[in-house]
Amino acid sequence: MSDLGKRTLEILKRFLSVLRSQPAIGVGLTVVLAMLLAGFFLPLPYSPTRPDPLNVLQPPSSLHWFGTDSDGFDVFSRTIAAAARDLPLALIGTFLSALVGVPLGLLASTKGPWSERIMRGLDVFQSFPLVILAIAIVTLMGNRLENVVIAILIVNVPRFMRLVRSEALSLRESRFIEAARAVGATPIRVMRKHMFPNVVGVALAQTSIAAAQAIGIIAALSFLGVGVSPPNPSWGLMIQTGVRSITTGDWWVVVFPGLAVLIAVAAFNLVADGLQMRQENER
Amino acid sequence: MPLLTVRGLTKSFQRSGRDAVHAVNDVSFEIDHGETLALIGESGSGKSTIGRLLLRLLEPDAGTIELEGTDLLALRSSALRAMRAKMQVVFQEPYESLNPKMRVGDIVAEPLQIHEPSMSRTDLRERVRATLEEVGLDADQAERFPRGLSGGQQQRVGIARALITRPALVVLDEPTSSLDLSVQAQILEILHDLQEAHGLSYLYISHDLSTVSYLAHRVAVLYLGQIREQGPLEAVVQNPQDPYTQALLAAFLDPDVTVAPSRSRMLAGEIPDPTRLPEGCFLYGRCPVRVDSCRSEPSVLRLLGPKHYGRCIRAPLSDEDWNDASDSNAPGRSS
Repeated sequence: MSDLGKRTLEILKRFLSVLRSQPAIGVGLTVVLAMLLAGFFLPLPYSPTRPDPLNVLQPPSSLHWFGTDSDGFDVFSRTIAAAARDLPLALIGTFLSALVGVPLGLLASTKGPWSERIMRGLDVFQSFPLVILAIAIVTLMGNRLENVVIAILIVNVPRFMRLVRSEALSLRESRFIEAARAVGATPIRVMRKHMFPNVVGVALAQTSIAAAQAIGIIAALSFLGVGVSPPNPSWGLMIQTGVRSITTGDWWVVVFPGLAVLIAVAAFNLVADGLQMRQENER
Repeated sequence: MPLLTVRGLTKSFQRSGRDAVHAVNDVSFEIDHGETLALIGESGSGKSTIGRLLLRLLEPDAGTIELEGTDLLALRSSALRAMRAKMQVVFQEPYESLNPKMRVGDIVAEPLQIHEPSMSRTDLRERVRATLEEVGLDADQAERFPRGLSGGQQQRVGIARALITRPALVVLDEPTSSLDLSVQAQILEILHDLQEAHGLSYLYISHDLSTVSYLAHRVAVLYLGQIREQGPLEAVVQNPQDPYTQALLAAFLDPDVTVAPSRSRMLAGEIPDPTRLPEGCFLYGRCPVRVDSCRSEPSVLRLLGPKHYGRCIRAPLSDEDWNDASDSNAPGRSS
């Protein structure tokens, strides 16, 4: 028990030292966390799912900070509330992608004809524009939130596999892997104890990049009318509504959810950059 | 019965679209309990490949390897893994051979966790501590990561990892060649003391004759993946019988190794391409003392003295042979 406590304390200490050496990671994580907390807990001035048909396309004012859209939804309330839906969806999709892609990438790095075949199969698969493929699949399978996660998996699992496999292939040639074999470690043990800890850093950096892209994918999907269905708030959906108003000069409907996407993507990219810098410094 | 018996070990590396490299060609030797056999040769002579073949980190094309009477090449993967407790390796690159993400204590403990999974954590920790101290490290260095250690300390960790399962045979693949001279001496001393204490057998792979004469009981000289000459340390170093060994020793400038002072003992040219092996004697193309029959007669190891074997059909070679050679038929020197 005390051993477990010691380990947690150690991980916490390491985390703090990482934050100190790469403040960008801390900034990015804080922004994401703030957006998530605001999405779930910030008291909203208006209901994000009930429109006020008497006040459509109001410009930003003290009553409606970000204005209202063509249906009479309060843009501020919806922009904040959408974070509680878009961000968890992006995070869950990304973590699941890593969870599936990293072990598969490690396995595909083993020698053998079948690992080559898997990679060639992946080549064929990846030669399609993946976002379009994801949209097609979600459209065919129905407009449900789980399918948005599946779309993120389709785009990201091959990327994780490729990245981890290429790292693992160069690791395989290294002396300490040979040393591990020489002391009698099983292939599974070599992967778990020796290869995984050495690829987890790049995988983590990729996770942040993938999360940023997932925000984009979700926005794109709901922009096209797949995924989050109205009247539930989603940044992509809001941008789509806003695009219709932009020609009449009602800029606020599209700008604020657009900014939210921008900030979320930038925050995840900050984390990714920080993690990558750390990786390079460690080499 | 010797601890290790190797017969006819052969390995070539197939390369796609190009000729195969014949790295190891029909190599046979034995190592007794508590004995050190040194494999010496230039880079590319196949020394490290032999070390890896012995441990089945590489699969040989042909030959047999018997450790304590067990045919290693007949073992299936799980039985082979179990056998690895008895045969260990220390690599040339101390840092690269340690997992950068593992603590020293975990690195040293791993072989025991694998081979004695039932051992309690306190026993394990105690064995790690004892082994670290045996190689001259403090027990509290178990908590550190490899990158925080000096090269010499890293190599001690590598030695501790190789020793903790109390193996019978340890392959030392140039364990000191990347270290400072002063550290080299310490590591050699530790290896020597450990051998005395535990009756270890070493296959010591090196190109450095001064370290070889410190550690080795017997020496095998390797050229183009073939043993040129093999015998007790004194016999091979003081009284080398093969032109290659003589040239190798003459090229080595060390006051501790006394060699007949002949500066003319040089071979012509470079090591030939290992994709096409010469017929007859492998040395023929470079040898200053060659005769016509060198190419026609099969090249075999002959007994030249007590436990002393060599391939040269002109052995024993005298100074006069070399002097004659430098005047007349030295290959490549006329041009």
